[in-house]
Amino acid sequence: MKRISLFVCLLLITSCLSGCAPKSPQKIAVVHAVGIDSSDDGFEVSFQIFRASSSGSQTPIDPSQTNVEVISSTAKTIENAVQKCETQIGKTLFFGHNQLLVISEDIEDLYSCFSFFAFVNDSSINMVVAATDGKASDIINCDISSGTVAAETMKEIFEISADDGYAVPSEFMKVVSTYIDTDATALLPVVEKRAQAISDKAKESGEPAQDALEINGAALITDGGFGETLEKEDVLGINYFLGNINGSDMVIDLNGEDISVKVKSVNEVAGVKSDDNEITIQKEITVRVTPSGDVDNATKEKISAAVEKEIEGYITGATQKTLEQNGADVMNLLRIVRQRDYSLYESYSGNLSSLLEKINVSTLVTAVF
Amino acid sequence: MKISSWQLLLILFLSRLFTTITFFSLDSFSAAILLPFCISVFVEAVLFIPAILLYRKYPDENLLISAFKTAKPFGTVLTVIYGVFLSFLVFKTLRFFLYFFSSAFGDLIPIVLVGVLLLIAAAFIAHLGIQAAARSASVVFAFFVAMLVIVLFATAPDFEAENYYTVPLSTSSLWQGISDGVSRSDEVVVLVLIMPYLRDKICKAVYGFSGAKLIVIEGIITCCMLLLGGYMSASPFSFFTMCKYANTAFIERLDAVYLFVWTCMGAIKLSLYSIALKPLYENVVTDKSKLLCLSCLPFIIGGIPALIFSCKSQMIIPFLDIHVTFYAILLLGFLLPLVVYFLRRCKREKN
Amino acid sequence: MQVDDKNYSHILLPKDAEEFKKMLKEIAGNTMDLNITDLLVSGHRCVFVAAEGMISTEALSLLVFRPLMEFDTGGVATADEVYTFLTAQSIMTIDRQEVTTFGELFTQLFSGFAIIFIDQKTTAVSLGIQGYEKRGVESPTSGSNIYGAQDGFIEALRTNVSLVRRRIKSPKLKFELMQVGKTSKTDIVVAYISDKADKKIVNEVKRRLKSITLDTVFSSGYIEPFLESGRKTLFSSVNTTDRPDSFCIKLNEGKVGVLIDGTPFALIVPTIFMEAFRTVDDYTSRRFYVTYIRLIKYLSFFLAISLPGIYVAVASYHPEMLSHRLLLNLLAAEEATPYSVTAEALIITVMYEIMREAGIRLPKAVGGAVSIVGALIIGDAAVTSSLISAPLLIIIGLTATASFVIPSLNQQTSVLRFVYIIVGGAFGLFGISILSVAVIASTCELTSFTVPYTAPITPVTKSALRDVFSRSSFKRLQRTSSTVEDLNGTDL
Repeated sequence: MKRISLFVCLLLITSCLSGCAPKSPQKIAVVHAVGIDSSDDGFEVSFQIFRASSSGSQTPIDPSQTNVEVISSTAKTIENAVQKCETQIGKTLFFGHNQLLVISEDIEDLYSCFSFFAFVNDSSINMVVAATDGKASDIINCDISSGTVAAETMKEIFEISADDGYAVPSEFMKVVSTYIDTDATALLPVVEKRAQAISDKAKESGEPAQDALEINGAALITDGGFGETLEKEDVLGINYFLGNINGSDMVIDLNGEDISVKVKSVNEVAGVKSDDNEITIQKEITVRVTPSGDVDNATKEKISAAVEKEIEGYITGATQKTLEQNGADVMNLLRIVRQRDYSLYESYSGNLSSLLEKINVSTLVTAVF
Repeated sequence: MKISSWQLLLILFLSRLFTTITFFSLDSFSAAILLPFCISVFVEAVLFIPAILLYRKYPDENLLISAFKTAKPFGTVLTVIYGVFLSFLVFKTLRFFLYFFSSAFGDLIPIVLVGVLLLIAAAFIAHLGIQAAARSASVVFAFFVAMLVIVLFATAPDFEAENYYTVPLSTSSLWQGISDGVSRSDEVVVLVLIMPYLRDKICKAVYGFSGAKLIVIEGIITCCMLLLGGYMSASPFSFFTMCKYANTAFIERLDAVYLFVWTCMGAIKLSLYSIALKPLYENVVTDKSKLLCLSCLPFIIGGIPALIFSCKSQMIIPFLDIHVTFYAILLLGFLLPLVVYFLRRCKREKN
Repeated sequence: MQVDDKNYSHILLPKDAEEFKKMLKEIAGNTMDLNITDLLVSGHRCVFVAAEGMISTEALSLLVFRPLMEFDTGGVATADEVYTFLTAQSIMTIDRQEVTTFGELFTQLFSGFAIIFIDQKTTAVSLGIQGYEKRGVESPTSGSNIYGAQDGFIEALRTNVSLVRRRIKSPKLKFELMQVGKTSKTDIVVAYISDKADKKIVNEVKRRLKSITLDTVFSSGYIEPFLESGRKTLFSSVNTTDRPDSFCIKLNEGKVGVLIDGTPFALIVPTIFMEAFRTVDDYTSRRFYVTYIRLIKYLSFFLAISLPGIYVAVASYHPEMLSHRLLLNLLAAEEATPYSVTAEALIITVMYEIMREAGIRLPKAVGGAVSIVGALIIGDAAVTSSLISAPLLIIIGLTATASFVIPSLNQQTSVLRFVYIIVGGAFGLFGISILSVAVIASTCELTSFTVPYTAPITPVTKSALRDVFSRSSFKRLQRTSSTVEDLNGTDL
């Protein structure tokens, strides 16, 4: 028994000293962002990976450097593209800290994109998913110099925009969950690259303009493919309906005077009413309004009314664009019906689009101080 | 070397939790699975009755010893049946574990090595005895509670109420759900074998176990549904996905923490299958090496096929999961103990 | 009759003084430390025997020789008269015993007693006038404290007994003297409080001590294995302490203590795992602070054992667990190092153990030099030369510091740390969990005189939990004092 124990110990020591750990730091390349474009061969996949710009084990990462490099390859499947890139750099691509997935609107096979990341073992399911009408590789190559790595900054841009209501929350798990529940429908924020304005001094010194990212609406996914792009106001309407607003700025025109207020979602209560031909989803939405300065009670009432009207306008616009014009459920309508009246939902199983056609949305917005 | 009813409750509960946090039913992701599960808990409460009757009458005997005292051939046959079933449970548990490990963690470690190490740990715990297993279960349970609290706190802000919906069930779906719930409850069979180790009241342990199971497991399933919604169909390991999603300031993802707690639970659950057979031989066999060999027997018989299959196929065979186990539990956990109880009583009255 | 140093134990003392002297020399041989002196006590022949350096010369002259010289019966005293004088009429010393065999004689002699043999009497008188050199009572060496007593046990058994006795002034405190070691005949004392300690534990302790057949017993470590449970385990089920106050606290909890002559470390049984985390300061500090410090101690123990192993496992197998920035810093740090994380951890752990062992053994004069060399080599040069990474150095440094928080578990933490690194490096967190469950199970299985080692955590004993994660107020503790018998799972 002692000899066996000794043998096992020696085996363990030898095995662990042989460097067989599959994800040891020297063997992996940490992927921060992934961009998927369409190409003639199938997919053109770009990966933003971490590159330590330090030398020696004592020097920390230099935050003034971008600390990333972008590699890309073209293949029929995403798995093949990953393998090609791994061969290129001689390391295993590690998706455990992937912050961002950008998909070009040219992509038709969204299912392949989602399923790859859903089934990769170490893939992060918290990553932000976004769409772009240009090249995803351009977004990945964006030279954002602030922050330790560019993708971190990119993710923060999405998160802040989502809090403000200008971007839909688009964590991978939530997107896929919606995609599955609503017959391949989802909503992704659209991201664009633009050059940031530079100071005159920087211009004179010949410094190039720095890149910046801008969230510009949202792309509808219907029947598993990209459809229409929604405007910022439509996205606001969706976020107000879903109660995702953590603090959105609104400018109210009161008798010619612009008053700036901050609006935050408080509560949403949904109900379903159905008769033979129509299904009405009634939602009571409560928001909290915080004006920028002191206001009297009369003004408060006027502000509340104006805010309620504004929000209802956004929601109506969003409903028209998504539900009526595109037959897409990005406002959790099917889920509400499923929860409140499952028998009604089940009667339309396999034909959810006809259920959607019968749904009307009615909202009652209450603004409180 | 007896354990209290709380210790028995914990060790059975941990054994059941291991199954729950590994797999949910793949057929339905609605709150509909809660009702059949709830009914299955009540069904199990009824299935425990023969064990309770046997314990009250013959507290120092387990089912097999009672069977031997009724008739030696009968005892021998039952020993073989229960031995085979426990080996099958080792096979099934190990297959679940290896399937999950290879699906969730890929080629991190050679899968055969994973199985071997787990079996060695389980054999070690079984060799130490029921007290070591029960006390370790308390410690591991504390780890599980800590992990559960952290995961719930980390994911609760992302719960969506719309993901929770109830479904009216047809009789066949209800029956499917109940039989699925019962088929996962091999503790019914294990209890009739480890009863002699108990020194307190059995009802406290058994019904406490049922109550705790009902509350905690329904809670876990509900939370998974609220968070994951449709994503549950993308992964059969719902609680694991929940841990993967959970993000805290200190630890980015909790799926590896889940692995730690879950492996400990798996080792204790496997050890229970060997400990269940110990009352038969531990007073008869005194040689330490023979005792060790006998405690390793279920792991060898059940573990080796599991390791062989792990190399060949990753899929669990659904047939084995529900149908065979359900009827086996009915037979070995309820009918046979009832038969033994009445036979023993008849023999005693004759004497 | 032929006697020698092998068969002397049960040989009775002869009547004749010459015979006595002859037999004494045959047994003791030519040992230079034996003083044999003939003297006349009131005209009657006596033989005085003492071991050089073991008796107090001042006590000898004042308490023994002076009364002997002043004893005068008016003629030649008989053997009985001299014997009566020595045993009943004079005070001389408090510790006065009768010796009938050579075994008893030599035991007394080498314990610092002076022997007076009376011609024509088969019983000698031994007088306790010990005066051997011994260390003064100093601060305990095993660990320091702020508010507790600063006296510690020393090598002299009787001094240690007195340190305990003056803290518990109750006749319920019992000391039972025994001897172990066929050659060394080391005195040991079994101490217990009669209405607290369970009789079964006391009897079992005495039985196990009597079963020791070693030739020599020079330290508590010789006796410890005989008091432990039979199984080979990581943790010892016997507690050691060199603090009299700590010793008394444990006696009051119904435990049995063993004091050993020649070593300042006393043994206490039964023991539980949680006792390693208690210090005397816990009973002198404020409750909130005690709670805080206890939690720090539990955390330190966890870090000391598992932090390097977990770090290696996470870095090599589960880097997704680390926060994003931390992982990037780790990658940057590991970029230039030549070895894997596991190999680095093993190298630096071994280097630390070498430095630590050298620090304990080396003479004080070169201690400073070793510290400087260690700090320079490990701390600075290794990192600058990219042999190891800075994050790993911090991990090991923190681990090393944490291991000193619980010095009594230092052996276990040193070895387990190593094993955790190997297992974490080989199998990741899966290996860590397998090892952890095995360690937990083997610790849970351990009992100390039927008291579960992991009590009162598991099995849970609510009343005893008062002194585990925090310390209840003394007002509450005084209402319900608990002993080891009250711990759940105890099978007494």
